Amino acid sequence: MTALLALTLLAGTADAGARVGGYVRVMARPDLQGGEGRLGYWNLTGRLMNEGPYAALDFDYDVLAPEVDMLTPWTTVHMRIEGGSVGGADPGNGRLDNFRLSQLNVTAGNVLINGVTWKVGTLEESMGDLGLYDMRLATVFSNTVGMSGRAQWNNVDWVLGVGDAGYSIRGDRYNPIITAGSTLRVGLGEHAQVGLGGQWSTEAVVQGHIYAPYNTPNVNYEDWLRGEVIQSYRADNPIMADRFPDPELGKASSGHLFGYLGFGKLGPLKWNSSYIRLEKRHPDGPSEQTWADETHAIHATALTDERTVLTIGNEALFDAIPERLHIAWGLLYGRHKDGDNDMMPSEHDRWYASSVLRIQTAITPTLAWLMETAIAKEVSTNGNFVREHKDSIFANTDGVSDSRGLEFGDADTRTTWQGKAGFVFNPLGPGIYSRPSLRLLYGVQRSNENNAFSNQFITSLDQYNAFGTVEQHWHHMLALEAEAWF
Amino acid sequence: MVLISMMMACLHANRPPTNLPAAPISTVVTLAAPESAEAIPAPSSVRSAINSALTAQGLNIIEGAQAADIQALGTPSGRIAAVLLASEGKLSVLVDASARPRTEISGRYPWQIDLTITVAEEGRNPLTDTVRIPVSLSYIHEGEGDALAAAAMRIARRTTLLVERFRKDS
Repeated sequence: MTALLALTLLAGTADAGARVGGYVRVMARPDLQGGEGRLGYWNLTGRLMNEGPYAALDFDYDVLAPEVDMLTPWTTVHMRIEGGSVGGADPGNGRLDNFRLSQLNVTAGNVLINGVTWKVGTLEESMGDLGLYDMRLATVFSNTVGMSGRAQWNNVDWVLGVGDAGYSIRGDRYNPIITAGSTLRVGLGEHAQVGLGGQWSTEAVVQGHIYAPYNTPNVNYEDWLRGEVIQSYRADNPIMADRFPDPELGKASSGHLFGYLGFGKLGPLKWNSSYIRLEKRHPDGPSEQTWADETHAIHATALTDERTVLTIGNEALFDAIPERLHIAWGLLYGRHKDGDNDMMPSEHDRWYASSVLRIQTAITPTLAWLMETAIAKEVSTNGNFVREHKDSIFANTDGVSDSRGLEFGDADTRTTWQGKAGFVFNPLGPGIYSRPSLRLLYGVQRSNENNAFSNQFITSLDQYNAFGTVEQHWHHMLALEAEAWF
Repeated sequence: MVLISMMMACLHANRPPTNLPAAPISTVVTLAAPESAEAIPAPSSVRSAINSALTAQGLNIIEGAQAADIQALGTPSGRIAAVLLASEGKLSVLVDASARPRTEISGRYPWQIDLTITVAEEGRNPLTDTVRIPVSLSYIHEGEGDALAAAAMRIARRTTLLVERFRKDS
């Protein structure tokens, strides 16, 4: 970290081989309704006022810089440090343990084949994003370290890569997860782009390796959900001499495919980006369960290997009146399915849909008035997951209070509307995505869920709850924010 | 709200006008992409922005050298000599730009624009400035020309400043 910061200082000299860029987002959002400074739960109602602080420092060092008029080899070291904390803006207070070296790779061009760029290290590649939601559906290798090659011929951009995602997915329970993938993007003239991509990951299966994918045999899904696997086993096998079943090797794989269609430069339509992504999630690793002084790791590969996500997104950017009126309109649909779970609401069994509309009017070239409205609906496909009132029931079955019930709250749907408005300083000129931007915003949210924002309220209905409960469906907030790419 | 908007509109900061006399000036902008070793036509919007900014400072834009002819030359001194020859020794500006992409960050595509701006006039030593401008683009298909166009206003401001300094010494 120190070395990187030192090199960053070197980058200040214009002719040095070091180049520095980055991204920052910082805000003050004192929440006078008991929240923690975010208007809602997440980006489904737009990223604006729903995201926390963030900082990224991106660093390139040209070990051998490319020459303007010669196809000679060149090579660059690239690093990125990023994290979601800023001093005084969040509970992390900017501590460096909130940051990580998320990218490190070395690229080399014009080696062996002219026009091909080789990359070794972290491999992440993205084909754009839904800026209103801050979601990148057309991304590959976000978890992969390995080697890739990028070839660019005229309007064709092809990336092919292979590597290991074991540390990203398993962390300190490392097991190799071999990952291969590719993206292809073709420009169809000035007005359209088409892209395809995907990756597939397979986890190594080695008998005896304690972190390989295993299954604990004969585990009932409901017992696993409730943390009662050992209890249930001992009910059937009460003699302690009966050994808890040894895990058996399983298979774990994951991957995704995406498609991208972009078109624009048609009248006021600057660009429209459409994405579709189908993903199979990687199975979970083991989790520990304890009952009556007996603790075992319950291996659940086969209980978590049918999770899929379909996501469709679209964002259109209009220059309705050039240099004056800019409009961005986003749509998002997501469908999460878990073929193993048909009894408990979870993030893996739901669908959601959302629309966000942002209008920004330039009062002067550097001052704009911003308005945004967003509506979102989230529906659990395995029963209730939302408490609508301060005295809503917790555990229940079909909405009827049941201390053994796996449902939560009294509704299976959360509907949220947000409105935001305020002044924006854009020193570099007008535009919705002109940055840096300094914003003074007011935001309001209405949701059927009680206190639908991160908070520290006590929700217990216990008579000894000293703090009491609160019911709020409207949420108001003022924000002073700054955001910049540099 | 309308009143607030009107009040804010009055707050727009403007650059003070120069007291220097009117003069003819020619401008040339070149663009290169080092990683692909290509010389690319610079978008016309960049030269237009520069010309507008210079015109606002009381300068008269005249025809000068063609960018393609200048890009074919090998050395900075050869380039500026050719620019002066084409403008018959009158005040001239040459902006040599190169654009390089950087890694996508938080959904944007950063580019690095390296500029060498030279202001010259026959009989005087040229004034040269190098500057690096970061640009972030929204879409992956946008290239060197888009990156340079996104920096047009900043390039125009920098160029105008340099021309003004050069003229103050004349």
